[in-house]
Order: sequence, then structure tokens, then C-alpha cells
Amino acid sequence: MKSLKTYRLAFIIISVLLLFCFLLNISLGSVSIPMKEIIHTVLGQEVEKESWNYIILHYRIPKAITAILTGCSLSISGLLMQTLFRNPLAGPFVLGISSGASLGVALFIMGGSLLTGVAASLIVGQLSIAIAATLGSFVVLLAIVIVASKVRDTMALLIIGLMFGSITAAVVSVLSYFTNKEKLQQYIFWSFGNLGNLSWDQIILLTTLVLVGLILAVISIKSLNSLLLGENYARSLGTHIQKSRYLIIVATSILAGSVTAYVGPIAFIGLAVPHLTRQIFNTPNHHVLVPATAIYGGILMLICDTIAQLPGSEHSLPINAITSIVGAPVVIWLLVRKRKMVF
Amino acid sequence: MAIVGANGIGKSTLLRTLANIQPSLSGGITLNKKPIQTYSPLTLATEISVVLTEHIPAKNLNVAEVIALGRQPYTNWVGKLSETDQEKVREVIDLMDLDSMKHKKCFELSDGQLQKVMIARALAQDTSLVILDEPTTHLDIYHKVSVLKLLKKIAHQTQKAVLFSTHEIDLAIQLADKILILHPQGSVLDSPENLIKNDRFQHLFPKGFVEFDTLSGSFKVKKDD
Amino acid sequence: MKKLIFLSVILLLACKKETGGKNTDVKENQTEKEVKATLVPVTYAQGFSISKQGKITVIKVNSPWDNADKTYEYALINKKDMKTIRIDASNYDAIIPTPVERFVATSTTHIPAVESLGIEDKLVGFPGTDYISSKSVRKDVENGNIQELGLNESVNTEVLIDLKPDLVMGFSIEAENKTYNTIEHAGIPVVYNGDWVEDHPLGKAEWIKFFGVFFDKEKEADSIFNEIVTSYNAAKALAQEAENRPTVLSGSMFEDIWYVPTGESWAAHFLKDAGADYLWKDTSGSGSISLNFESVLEKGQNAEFWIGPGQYTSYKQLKETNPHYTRFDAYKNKKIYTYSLSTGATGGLLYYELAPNRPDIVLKDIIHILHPEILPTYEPVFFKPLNP
Repeated sequence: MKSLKTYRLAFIIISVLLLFCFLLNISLGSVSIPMKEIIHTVLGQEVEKESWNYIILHYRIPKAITAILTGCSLSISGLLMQTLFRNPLAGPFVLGISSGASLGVALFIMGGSLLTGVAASLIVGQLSIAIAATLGSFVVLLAIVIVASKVRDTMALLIIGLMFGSITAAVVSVLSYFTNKEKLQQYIFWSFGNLGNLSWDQIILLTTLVLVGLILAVISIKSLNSLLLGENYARSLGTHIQKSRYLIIVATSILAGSVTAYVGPIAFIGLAVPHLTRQIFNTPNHHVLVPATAIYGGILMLICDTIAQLPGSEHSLPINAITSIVGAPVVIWLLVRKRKMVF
Repeated sequence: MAIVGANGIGKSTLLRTLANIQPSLSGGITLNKKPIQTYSPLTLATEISVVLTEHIPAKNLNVAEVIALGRQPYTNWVGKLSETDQEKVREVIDLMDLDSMKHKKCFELSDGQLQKVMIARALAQDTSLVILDEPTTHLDIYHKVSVLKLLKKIAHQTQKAVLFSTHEIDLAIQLADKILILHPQGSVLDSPENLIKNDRFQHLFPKGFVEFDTLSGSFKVKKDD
Repeated sequence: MKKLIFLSVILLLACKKETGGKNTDVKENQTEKEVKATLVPVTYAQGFSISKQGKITVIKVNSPWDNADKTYEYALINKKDMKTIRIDASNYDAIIPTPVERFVATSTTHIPAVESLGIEDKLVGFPGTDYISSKSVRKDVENGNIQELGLNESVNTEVLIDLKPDLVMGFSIEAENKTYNTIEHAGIPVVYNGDWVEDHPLGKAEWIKFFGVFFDKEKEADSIFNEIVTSYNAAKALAQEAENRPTVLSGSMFEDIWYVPTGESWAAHFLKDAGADYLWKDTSGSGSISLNFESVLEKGQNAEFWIGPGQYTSYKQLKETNPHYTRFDAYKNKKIYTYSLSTGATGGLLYYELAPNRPDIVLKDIIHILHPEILPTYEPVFFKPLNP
């Protein structure tokens, strides 16, 4: 197996790229702040306008970090799912994790009004939404793990995941139908996805969760590589299939679930970045893919967010639209250029 | 050692059960006088390696990477290759004469080359028993012979037990040290010579189209009377 | 072409006003063959016109919804005249015998007109009766005189048809409402009420005249509206005399997108007339625009007042939802006022129901907040300070 050394240069380049995108992201926004002031803020020096200081420290930097965390976790969970299910169409949400989160949020925001008629149309706080989403994806995860212990076939698991998704989507639509418009609006805005809402406390919590997920993903690298030969070969190589399956599912749930809870269901990144990375590095080896996918995920998310902010204008676009608009052509272009799907 | 028998008799099932890929339908298996269930997956992986009929899903792996995966039972928690592991991989590549294609991707290889790579991977796993499920299917007669000769060489040179199933009874008779005939009325294990002598091959298939010619040690199409 | 028609309507309106015509001279000039159309004055509302063509009253709805490319014409004929008048039904979207005795309303904005015209007994059905706050109408809801027709915009078609009302006062957010087609096929006339499209405060309120004609209450509608105009203009005049024009911020965020009313919107009209310096007064378009949090902070951080922070009812809630809110001066100085604290008996927001019909009260509320010295004894109806 090729060692990491072969890829050292490539890793240095993409790490620098990540750093560059991070700086670009925090220096561009609706309000144009001179570069000098940005540097002063980052270095903790006196800044001309107090609002600039606040915008950079409490809006842009948390947002950029959230973007990186989101990109990393969704891409890694996409990679894990694609290898586990040996299916290029799998993504972080095939197990119904995002629909579980959506159900949690929908129940929380809209369920109340279903029970009490009009009810005071209180806007639900950000943290409560995150908790509801976490609970929702956790319940679905639990269901999946129980099913996974009963089902031997990984493909059946994939289909069961999709079924869970359909059921939760149906419940959400019933809830949406009966709720009042303010709550529906709040739910819909959550489902658009949003990176700019996390306070520093929340970022620390999210970072912890993502790190736990990433560590589990790194532990899975060995079994993921053996799974490249198929489950039977993997078993003959001493991989405990059932155990690694749990490990991979749990890692995915933590990564995708926690991110979805905080920033909403972000489309596309999880599906596209693993493909992108495979095409660029031309290897299915997870020693390379896991770190590379994480970094590319961060880069792509930062770029998407920078575009979504429409620098210089007062408006901004929903991040979910941008991830697909930017991401899809890149994947198409790579596939057409190489004329061959590398999976 | 070869396993032969008609289609559907359970050659693959037997091999897969032996390799602990599927649970046994009945009876038990012991390896080195210990029941196979008592082995952890990892220790078992240092005792038995397999070459299966199924295609590997990740065709984008290159030859060296596939062979290196054979070292997994010995690598650390992330699967980093040690010096010994790399040495072993090089050794296997030389033995199997794969040096010229070690950077090729699997999708660039012919069926015969791929089969050699998979055998090399099993060898890299460095086990006392190598189990191969129909290693010669899809190969032309030249490659069939070369694969089986290679297996014989391996078995004799490296003192490994090589167990394979095959439909090439003629070749098995010529190349295998021992043959296991699976038959509904009772299976027999013996050297090819003894099996021919005892006329064991005659009843391998249902009567009708083929008959065994004891003189040449091969099956002939039965002439219509 | 459409613009031309629109323009001529305005011109006609203007002419009518100049000749000082009240609706006394409306029902003259009736020859048998040629019926001259006489327009009833509609001053502020842009969305409808009323013309008397002999014994037929024609109501034209120009903008049933935002940017509508469709107009509706309804012919209203007094029940007494139904037998004697011949009319080509294909020229109109509906022919409605008046006065209407049993009708269904669909929006809470219809309710104040019902109350002030005293036609509660004629309202027989409403979707989402819990949203109704008007005390006199609620009484009929509780007595079971007003049938519940389902939730939100999804009217229960079967129950409605079974009710057999003479008229459904409908509305549509965009394009034709398919449910209404079914109702029309059942022989129940539906008219589109476009009150919510109006941007001028008095324009919205003028739709009471639209109600008036269906119920033979034109005179009452006229005088109610004139009172509102007088009261509104008087308050406006007082506010313009104020010395300072405090800066005002409005709207709130969904996620990190801030929705602020545009400078041409209904809400912004009030701020202007109340003598405020609304920070987004130069933005155009109706409704609201979505802005990035950064730019709102940059512009609105030092705003003196924050009026109408969406659904929020307390400072605590604002802070919990998004700590960014606490960065605004209006938050720090506790100068945030909301309409979300005034609710009816069953939780409906009073503002959504009554405000469009009583712009004079809304204006006085805001003047009271911005310039307490002008209306010292005034007791606000809609806008209240946020809870702690």
C-alpha cells in the first residue's frame, strides 16, 4: 500500500488552500471591512469601529469554523456510507439521519400547535432546535442499530434507511399541513440550512462532537480498507464485520447528526466531496481519503459560504442552494474529463 | 489438495464454511485441534487466507495496494505497514512475478492477472492454509495450468496447505496431491492414483453424457450407441 | 395596455373628486338602452373600483394578489331587480344578488369590517375561528352561529358547500385558488378580496367600501372610512410637528437572514407618517427584503427604536434565540416594541386582524412610542414594550 509520504506534497497544498479559504471567508461579507482592520481584529488590537470587531469575532469567524466543521463531518460521513454500502449514491443521510433530525425539529416547532390549536406563536429558541434535532437523529440511529443487528445484508440496511426517511418525511408533511404559518416558516428556514447562527459555546460543543466522530472514523480506516475487497474478503482478513458496521454507523450518526442539529440539513456536500477527492487523488485507500476528504469538505464549504454571502451586497443566499449549484458542476466536470468513474 | 464434484454438490459451501465465511450447517470444524469458533476473527486471519470467486468492488486499487491489504491481520490499529510487512509484500510480488504491473490499477488487468494478484494477496497474508474457490474459472487452458502449477509450487515450496475447488478434474488429477470427491452417496479423499484405481470418478456425474476413461485419466463424451 | 387602463381609472377617480361628487349623484342618468357608468369614489385603495351601471353595481378587482395578471369583475344586483334586469353573465366573473344574507369570510382582516358594519349575523362560516379576536364576532363563534371551516388556507370544501352561503369572501396569496373553483362550480359565488395587497395604510382600510356594497351598507362604510381618514390625518399632522425624527429599526431574523419591511411597504408608511427616520426608507418593493445580518448590524446598531421584531415577545426570548440581537442599542436601552403581545381570547393576534382596518390606531400607537410628548394620555392598542 502506498504510504502517506507519496501524498505529502498534496496534503501540504490543500492545507494551505484551506487556510487561504478560511481567511478569504472571514474577510468577505456584506459589510466591507478593510483588510487592515480584519488583521487588527484577529490579532486582538484596537479596531476603528466596534461593530466591525463584533461582526468578525462573533459572526464571521464562528461561521467560518462552522463551515469547516460542517464540510468535514458531512464529507467524512458520506465517505463512510459510500464504502460501507459500496454504493456511489450513498451520502451521510441515507440512514435517515437528516430526516430524523427534521422530524425532531418539526415535532418541536410545529407539534405544539397541532395539539393546542393556535397556541401563542412563540418562536422556538436556537438551542432547543439543536436539542430536538439531536434527539430526532438519535432515535433514528437507535432504530437503525437495532435493525442492523437483525439484518445480515448491508444492502437491506440501506433500503431500510431509505424507508425510515420516507416515514419521517410523511410525518413532517402532516405536521406542516396543520401548523400555523409562522411555525412553518421557522421550520422551512431551518431546513434551508444555515451556518451563521452558532455562538462560541455551541461551536465548542459541536467541535467536540465532530472530533469524537472523526476519531471513530480514523479507527474505522483499517476495516474500511478491508471492505474495499468486499465483505467476505474483509472477514477473511480478520475484520469483525458486525462490529465495524456499528462503528461506522455510530461515527456517521455523530458526525452528520450533530452538524444537522446545528446548521440544518446541508445538501450535496456529503455526496460530492468523497467523489471529488477520489477523482483528484485517484485512490480508494482510506489512509489518504479520510484526511483528504475532511480537508476538501472544509474548503468546499468555505467557498460555498463565501459565495452565499454575496460579498458587498446586503443580501445573502441560502447555503443549501449554493452547495449544489457549486458542487454539482465540479463533479460532472471531473467525471467527464476523466471519462471514467473512479470508485 | 483439490475438491471436485458435480455442480450444486456444495464445494463452495464447504470451502466457505471452512474459511468461516458462513456458519456451518451441521458438524464442527477444528483447526490445529481447536474448534474454529474459538478463534477470534483476527487470529483466524493469520491461519486461513482465501481467494474467492467474487469480484472486488474497489477496482481502483492498484496491485501493490491489494497485496498489501493481505498484511492487515498484522498491522496496527490504523493499518500502517511496518518494515516487515513491506518486506513480505515485496517478497510475494517477486514470487508471483508481478513486479512489472505492481502500479497498475485492478481495472486494467486481465482476468488471469487479477487472479494472480488475488492469490498473491492471500500469500501475503502468510497463513498455513490457503483456500481457493474455483481459482481457474474464466481462464483459458494455458492460464488454468499456470495457476494450478503455481499453487503446487507454493504448496511445496512454502509448506502451506493449499485447498481449492475446481471443475477441471483432468487437471486436478495431474496436479493435485490429493483429491476430495464430493458425492451424495459418500465422499472420498485419496491420492489421484488411488482414486482412479478404485474407479471413484466413474460415478461422479449422473449417467448419460460423459464417462471416465481410466487409461487417460480423463472424462470423454459418451458416444451414442 | 394594462397600464393605460390603470391610468385612466386613476384619472377618472381624480375627475370625480374634483367635481366634488359624493355618492349622492351616483344613481342618476338612467335611460333604458344606454346606461352610463358612474364611478363611486375610491381614494386610497388601488386594488378595486366600484361603478354603478344603472341598477347594476360592478366591482372590479384589479390586483387580487401581488403582481396579478388577472382582474375580476363582479356584477351586483339587488334581489328586487333580479327578475327585471337582463344581463350577459359571461361578461362577469360572478353575479351576486344583494344584499347578501349568508356569507363566509376567509381572512381575519375581513372581521373588523364585519364588526363595524354590524353584519355579524350574516357571517356563517370561517376557517380557523380561533384566530378571530373581535369580541362581538367571537360571541357568534361561541354560540355556534359561525361554522368552523378548517385550518389556515385549506378550507374544508364539503362543509362549506353544505353551508350554502350566498357569497364567499375569498383571497389568494398567488394565482387562482383551486378550492374556489370547486366552490364556484357548486353555484356559490366567490369574490377575491385584495385588501392585503394595498401598501397605503388608508388603502387597506378603504376596502370596507368593498364590503359595503355587498350588504347594502355603502353609506355606513363611507362614513366609517371617512372618520378613519380624518383621525389618521390629524395624528399624522401632529407627528410632523415633532422636532426630532428618531431612527427606527424593524423586523427580525430567521436563522441569520433579517427580514426588514421595504421603504414602500405598508409598515414603512406608518413609520414615515409617525415622524420616524426609518433606516430602510429608501428600499423599494412591497413587503419585506431579506438582508444579511452583518449589514443590518452595521446600519441598525445605533437605531433608537426597534419596532415590530416579528413574533418575539420578550428580551429574554430574543437573547435566547440569537445572542446577536443583544448588540443593538434598542435592545440595550429597552426600546423594542412589539404587536405580538396583544392577542384575542383564543390566541389570535389582534394586530393581524384589526390593524389593516384601523390605520389611525396603528399610527397613534407608533407616535405614542416615538414622541410620547405628543399623545401623553394615549393608551396603545397594538404596540407594547417587550417583556423583560
